[in-house]
Amino acid sequence: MVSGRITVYVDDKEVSLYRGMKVRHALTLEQVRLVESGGAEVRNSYGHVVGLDGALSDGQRLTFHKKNK
Amino acid sequence: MNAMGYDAMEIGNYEFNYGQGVLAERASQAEFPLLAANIMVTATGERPPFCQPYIIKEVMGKRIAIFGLITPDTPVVTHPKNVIGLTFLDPIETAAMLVPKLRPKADFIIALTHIGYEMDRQLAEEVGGIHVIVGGHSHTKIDVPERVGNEGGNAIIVQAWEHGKVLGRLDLEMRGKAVVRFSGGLINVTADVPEDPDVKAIIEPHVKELKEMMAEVVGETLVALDGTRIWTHPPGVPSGVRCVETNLGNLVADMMRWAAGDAQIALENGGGIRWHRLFPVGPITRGDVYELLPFLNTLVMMDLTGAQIKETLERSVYNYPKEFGGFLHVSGLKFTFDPTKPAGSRVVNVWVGDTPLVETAVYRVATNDFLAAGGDGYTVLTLGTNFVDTGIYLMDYMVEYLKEFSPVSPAVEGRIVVVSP
Repeated sequence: MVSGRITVYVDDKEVSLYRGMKVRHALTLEQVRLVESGGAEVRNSYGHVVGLDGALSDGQRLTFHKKNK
Repeated sequence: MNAMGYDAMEIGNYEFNYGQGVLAERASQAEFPLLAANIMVTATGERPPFCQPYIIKEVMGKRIAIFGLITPDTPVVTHPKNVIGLTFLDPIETAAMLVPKLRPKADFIIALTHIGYEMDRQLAEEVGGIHVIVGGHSHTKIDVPERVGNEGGNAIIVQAWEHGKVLGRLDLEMRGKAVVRFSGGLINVTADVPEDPDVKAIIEPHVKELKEMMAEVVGETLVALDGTRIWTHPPGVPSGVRCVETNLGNLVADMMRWAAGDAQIALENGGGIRWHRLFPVGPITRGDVYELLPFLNTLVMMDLTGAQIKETLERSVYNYPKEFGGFLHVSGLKFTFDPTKPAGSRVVNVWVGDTPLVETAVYRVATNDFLAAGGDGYTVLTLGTNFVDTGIYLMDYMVEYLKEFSPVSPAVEGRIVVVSP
C-alpha cells in the first residue's frame, strides 16, 4: 500500500508532507510570497523551474533561488 | 478547447473536482477523446465511460498512438466522493502492459501524462517503445525537449510549465519508426500574441458573466458577522477574529465541516478570515465571499488522535490574550482553557460533540491545506493519517454553503471558553 506521506528536500533540508501536496507546501510562507511576487523561483534537481502548484514526488529535491533585480 | 482543435486530452486530478457526472458531461461535449489508461471501474475492471486508454490517428501517413496516464495520487487530491467506484492503477505498470500491444498497431507512440516529471523520467527509462512523453502535473518548465533513458527505454520528454504561460512546440524528423532529430522549445504566451477572433468570441460572454457573478447575491445574514481585529476594540480586551470565538469564525468552521462530509471536527485559522470588520446584516455577494476567504486555500481532511487535537488547541491559544493568526475557530468541538497556565498547558477540557475528547481515539478533522502543511506552527497537523485534499477552495465551498443555508444567523456559542483557576 502506498504511504500517505512523502519526504522532499528543499536546499537539502528534509520536509515531510502528505502525499498529494504541492511545491508551495514545502516552502516557508516567505518563500512562497517571494516566488509569487517574481522575486524567486524554485528548481528541481534537473535544473527545471517548477511552479508553486506543481505536484511533488517522494524523494524529490528542490532548490530555492532568489532572482537578482 | 474544441475551437483550438486538440487531438486528445489526458485527464488530470482536477477533472474529478466536480464529480464523475460533470466529468462525463464535459467528455460528451468534447470533440476530442479524453484519455487515461490506468483508471478502472473497481467492480467490473472495465474502463470508466468518460475516458478511453488510447487513440490511434493517422498523420502524414504515419500511425500515431497516443495513450494517457493519470497520477495514482488522484484519490488523495480530490474529495473522496468524486472517485467512488474507481481504482487508479500504477502508471508505469500500465504502460509496460499497454505499449507492447500498441507497437504492432502504431509507427509512433506518445504518452500523454499527468503523472509529474519525476515519474515521466521513470516511464522513459523503464518502458521501451515510447517515442515522446508529453507531461504535466508537476508544473515543470522544460525549456528544451530532452531525451531521457537507458537500455530499458528512452523517450523525448516535454512539459509546458503551468497556467497557459507558455506553449510547447516539438519538431521531429523521423526515418521509419525512429526519431533521428528533434528540436523545440517554449513559446511565451503574452499580450503580444494576436488574439484569435473565433476563440475570443467564445470567451467574451463568459468574461462578462464572470464579472456579473461577483455581484451575485449568494446568501444573506440576519446578524452582523464579526471579523474584527483587536485594534477595533477597547484596549486590554481580548477580542477579534484572531483572539476569541466569533460568530463569523463559527460560520466558516461550520461550513468546512459540512463541506467535508465525514469530518467530526473542523478547524480554521483566524488569519485566513479577512473581513476585518463587522459585516452588516443583509445580502452577501460572491465578491464578498472571495474577500472573506481570499487565499487560495483548499479544504483538506485527515485523521488525528485526540492527543494531537489537544496539542493543536494548545497551539491555538498559546498567545492568548494577544492576537495570533493561527488562532483556531472550531466546529464540532468545544473546549475550555486557562490562560494563567504556561503556554502549551492551557487546555482544560475538550468535548467532541457532547462527549469528552479521548486522547487515544481517532477523529476525522477538516482544515485547510496551509495549516495541514504546518502553517502557523501547526507541526502536529502534518502528522495526521488518511489525508485527502479536496482541491476545492474554501471560498467556493462558502458560496455553496450560503446558497444552501441562507439566511444564516451564527452566534457565539461557547465553543472556546476561558476559565479561571
